[in-house]
Amino acid sequence: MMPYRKMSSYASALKPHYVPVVERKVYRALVDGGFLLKRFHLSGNLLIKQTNDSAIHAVFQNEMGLTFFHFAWFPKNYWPPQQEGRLRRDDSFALISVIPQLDKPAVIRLLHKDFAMLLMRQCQELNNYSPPSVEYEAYPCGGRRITEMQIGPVKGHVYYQGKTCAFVDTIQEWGRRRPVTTISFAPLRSATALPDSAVIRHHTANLTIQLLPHNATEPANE
Amino acid sequence: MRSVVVLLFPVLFVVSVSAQPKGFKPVANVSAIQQGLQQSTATVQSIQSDFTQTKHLSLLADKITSRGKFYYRKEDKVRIEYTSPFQYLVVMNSGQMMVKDEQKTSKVNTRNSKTMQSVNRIMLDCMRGTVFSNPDFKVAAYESGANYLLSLTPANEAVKKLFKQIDVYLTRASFDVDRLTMTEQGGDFTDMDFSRTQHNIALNDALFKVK
Repeated sequence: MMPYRKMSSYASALKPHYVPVVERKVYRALVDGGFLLKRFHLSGNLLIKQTNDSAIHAVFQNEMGLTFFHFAWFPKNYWPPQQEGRLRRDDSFALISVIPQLDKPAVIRLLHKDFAMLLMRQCQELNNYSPPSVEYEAYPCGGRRITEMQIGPVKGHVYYQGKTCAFVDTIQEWGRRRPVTTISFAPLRSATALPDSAVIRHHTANLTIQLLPHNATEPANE
Repeated sequence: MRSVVVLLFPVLFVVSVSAQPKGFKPVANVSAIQQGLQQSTATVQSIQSDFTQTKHLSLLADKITSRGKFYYRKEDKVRIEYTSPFQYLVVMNSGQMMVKDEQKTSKVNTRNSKTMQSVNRIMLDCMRGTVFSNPDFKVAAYESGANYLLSLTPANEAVKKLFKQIDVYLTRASFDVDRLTMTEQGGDFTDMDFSRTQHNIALNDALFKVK
């Protein structure tokens, strides 16, 4: 069921579309959630970086340096030797490491989806003339643009919304009848930039992730 | 040593026996280090120092740096205050721990966690100069011209899951901690370098209040 009514396809308005080009981004990450009667709060630093082999890595660690989890997405048709034996998914997602407390299939699936929507790993060809690897349609709706897509690990449809397709401010995953996840962020610097800050709200799981600017100024590369 | 040990709490565990570190050789007389630690511990009532923390991510060839201030007061009070590039505070006092970030303050009773107890134990052992007798860690001692190095390998399964090794670098002259290196199982490691260390400064009770 399409959540947005009175929309008609407007494919010519699709390009350019928001597709973040990842170099290096560090966020302050604050995570709040609850399960049954237990509530939890985590904080730390989230580093998203592209390495020389064109892989994208996402590492979440606490302030003292302990790594909570480390995910990676490798280019198509490339699976580094050191990852042999690891679980590989359709979008070349790999779980590099995770602390025991977060090593639950539901948690990994949820975080995998969130990053897949934010990073749009399968959508790199969207702004080229060659056919993209994802199905998409764009719609004008109430002065805004909405693009409907299927993003790899996400079961439902994903809607990218903004004043234009390039300057998206909301990403929403819909289930059959209601939104499952909403990612909202401050105005983008460009159509290829990751947002400076974002809030990821899960409507069916009690979990909210805030990504705030990290004010590091020191050079990072070793 | 005392300042380094208290930092182990929030980090939680792990150490493994390593090959002889570069630039160091095994200590011939371990009891001399133990005695030195105990004598040093006896005269120090409080510690205040600056620190620079660098997390090295080997797979990404990247690092993340932060800075802050460290405080310790005998027997069991610690304050670790990150000031740059984010604000983050850890206070430990009599088995209770408080963590404060930009939005929330959390309290933890370390006595409810065996892992936290393990780290608490090693901290107290270092305060008292009895780290070598801690059953949760194996300790290997090395020396160079300017430093002692204590390599801590976890013997505790819970700690082993998080850390491979913890290295404590002490100045020979004063047994002050120069550096603490915590290495994770995956190979990433965190250095904490201490500077401008001062002993026996009067530290206000308010610094160690767990609210």
